[in-house]
Amino acid sequence: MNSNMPWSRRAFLQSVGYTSALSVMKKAIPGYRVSSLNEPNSTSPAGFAYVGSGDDAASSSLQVFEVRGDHWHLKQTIPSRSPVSLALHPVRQFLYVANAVDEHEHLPRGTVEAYKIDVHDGSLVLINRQPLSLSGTRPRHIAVSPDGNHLVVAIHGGGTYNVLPIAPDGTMGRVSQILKEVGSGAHPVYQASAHPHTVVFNETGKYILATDEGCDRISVFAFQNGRMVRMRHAISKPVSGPAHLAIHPSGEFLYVSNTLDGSIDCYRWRAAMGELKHEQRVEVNQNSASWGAQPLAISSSGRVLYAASVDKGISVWGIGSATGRLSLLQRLSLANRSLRSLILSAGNRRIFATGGNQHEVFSIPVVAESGELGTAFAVAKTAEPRSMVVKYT
Amino acid sequence: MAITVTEQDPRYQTLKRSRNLRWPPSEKDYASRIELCESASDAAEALQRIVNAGLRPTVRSGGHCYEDFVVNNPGGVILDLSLLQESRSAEDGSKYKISAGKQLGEVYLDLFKRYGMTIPAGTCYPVGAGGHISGGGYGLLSRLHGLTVDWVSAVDILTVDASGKVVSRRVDKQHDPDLFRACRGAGGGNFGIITSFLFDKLPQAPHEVVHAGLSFDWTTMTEDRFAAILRTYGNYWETRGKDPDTYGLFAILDVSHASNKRFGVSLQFCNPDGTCNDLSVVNEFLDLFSSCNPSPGAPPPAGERAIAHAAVSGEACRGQHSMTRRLWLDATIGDSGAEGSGRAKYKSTYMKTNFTDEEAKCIYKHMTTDAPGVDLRGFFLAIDSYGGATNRSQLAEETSIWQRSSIMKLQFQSYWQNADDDAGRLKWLKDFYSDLYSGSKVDPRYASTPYPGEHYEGCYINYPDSDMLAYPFWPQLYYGDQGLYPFLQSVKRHYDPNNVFHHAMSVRL
Repeated sequence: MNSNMPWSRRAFLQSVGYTSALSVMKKAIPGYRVSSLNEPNSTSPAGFAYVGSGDDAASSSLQVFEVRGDHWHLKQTIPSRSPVSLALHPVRQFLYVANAVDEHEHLPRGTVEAYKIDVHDGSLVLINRQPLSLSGTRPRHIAVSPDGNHLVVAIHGGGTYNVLPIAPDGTMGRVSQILKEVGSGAHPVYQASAHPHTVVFNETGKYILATDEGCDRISVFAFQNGRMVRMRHAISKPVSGPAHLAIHPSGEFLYVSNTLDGSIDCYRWRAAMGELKHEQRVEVNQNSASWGAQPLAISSSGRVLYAASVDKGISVWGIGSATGRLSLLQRLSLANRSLRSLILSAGNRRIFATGGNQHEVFSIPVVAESGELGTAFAVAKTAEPRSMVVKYT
Repeated sequence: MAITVTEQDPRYQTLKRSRNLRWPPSEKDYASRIELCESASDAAEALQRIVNAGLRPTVRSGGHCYEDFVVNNPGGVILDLSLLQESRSAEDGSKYKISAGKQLGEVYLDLFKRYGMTIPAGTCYPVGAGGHISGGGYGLLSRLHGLTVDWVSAVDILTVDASGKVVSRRVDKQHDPDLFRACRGAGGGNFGIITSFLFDKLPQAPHEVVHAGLSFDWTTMTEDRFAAILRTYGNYWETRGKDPDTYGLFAILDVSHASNKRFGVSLQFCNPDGTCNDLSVVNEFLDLFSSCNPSPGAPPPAGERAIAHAAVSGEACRGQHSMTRRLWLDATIGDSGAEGSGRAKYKSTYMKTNFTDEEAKCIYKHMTTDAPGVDLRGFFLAIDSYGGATNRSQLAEETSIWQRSSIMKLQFQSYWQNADDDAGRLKWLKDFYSDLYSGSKVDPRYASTPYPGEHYEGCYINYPDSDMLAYPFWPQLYYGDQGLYPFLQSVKRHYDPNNVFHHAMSVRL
């Protein structure tokens, strides 16, 4: 999924900023326009956005943007190797980063990083970096427990989950649990072995839900005393490649986007009863042959699910309140934008998305009543954005 | 069922350890338990439990791994095979069988007493067969009979398939031949758990051997004389040592730091027929050093692998040199393996041609220079004779030992006791090695390493050195650059797709 675009990240960063980005974005893109400096919501600071950019371990970075409505101003750029996943600590003073690298200090393993967030200007200072377990290469996703005491890492390359303790000052301890997965799927290239993709804590922090792209598996773990304990798992359709996962606000449904066949599965989940039952499958991509990650986001009301498709933009789905079943509301074409992360703003008034191959972050207004999407605004340019979180003040 | 030793068990504190007290680097890196397996079925059952629990297995036969590949397993499980005794079964036919957890000393006794046979393996009695043989396995009889893996005709191994199921396999040239080849030299901890090695035939144990040695005084040594000793030694293996009548001669030139006062050569010899009736080869070899002011008898045994009785002036055999004649079994079992625990670091080099003057001077410089704050009395550079039957080139394709052109094999050994000395010891050895392999014979692209070429033939995987991981070409140092490593990676993908078996220098997917 690397960009093939010849493009100098360094050259771009020297000129990055909202004004300089405008000229780049004036090219005509269907369903896409550039925001104006005169946007009415551009003056009130809303928070800070953190964007992980770049696949190249040597030149990738974290960028800190000050967010004022649809106006993003670059405040800081610091080197960080392949920052594939970002997670805010519940107290919102710390940011955690997974580095999707194959080696650290000459051993086959990735790393995770902890940063302290400056309360006033949102800037980042590295607290510490911890190596993952041996053979834990290319971590894919991280999650912080709701109590803020642990970080869980889904390690794609190593087929492993790692747990690390978090101290009150945000410092990560060394890996305290290694849970090795085994398994495979039918795809000869992408499913030769287990490949954990996403980890998500439920609201109480007592359970972790995880996807495994390599063996078509959705797993439920109990999280007890800082350790993951296998509870049960569901097997998805062969060669589907479950990847992104989102828990419905009710806690009763899971939505999983499948990388290899471009579909979304809905599961009914009753934690107390140990039930994980497949309810529905829908196709996201009109071109079912497309391949890639499809980030998901669910409105806080629980009525709408947004799914970024690899080549067609964003699909908007209504969620049945009793059944959790999805019904298509809208397909927003973004002219073959390749979306790698999707975040709903506070109040669900807009969606921020990163376009990995297009080197941009953009904002899309959300219609309050229907949840449908309006026209995309480009809000920032950054090299190969692949991960993002927004911290609201 | 395997015997499970958890942290609460009084045996745990002893069994969790490595022989090399440098490992693991911290208390938190110890395995959570040890599974002592008495049979292959025990091992299979224990391995399945470990995999099902999402834990990492590491495997131990004798526990002599030079790096931390086994004991650095935080929260994981060590599968210990030292109690495993797999006796010959009906399906084994007439094959000889060695359980992976057997100590080499036990193997020598067993094979000799049952059959009068042996394996051309190492000199340290307590080394386990599993790790030793899977990495090649060589010793004092290797110039005469080749490597131990050269004789292996089948391997019993447990692998973990893509679904996580433990599979018991007997691999040979007809069954899973790719895995069979990989098990013959690629090193332990890569593909599965070897429980037994099988052999259609084995070399006959010699009846007797002689041990002899020479030593040299550091206090009167000069650079020129030191270089002459190294060059004389290397020249023999490069020329006369290639003649089959010399294959029964195995020597170790143990170069110590000058603070040890003496260094020297120890040797073992028998004629190709397993007798010592004709000692002319030994006398001829020892005569070569007569102009170098030697003293009879090797210095006291250095390191772990010196030939123990070469230091003793014994019965004068024919010729002018002192030698000790012993029955082979007594000489082999004797008091070898009298080793203790301590801290250690190792490096290795295969050499295809003799030392250059530049190399000899470099070694001399480091052996005669004191390092501030570092006691170098525990350092030894063992320069083993090699070649002979180890260099049957056709076996490079049948096994995973590709080094089939070398005349000498070097083992850099450093021993000490206190953790406070780690940094100084490690840096000194690293700097010495780097300096030695940055000379005019070294391609600048591969500076500081004996990269395979006209002069060197890389390193030995059974003497793993994690310092080499700093070089992106480290697999080529151990497995060459002629396609063996990609082959091993394909075997890895096929038989261990989930990388259940891994360590810092295991074959990577």
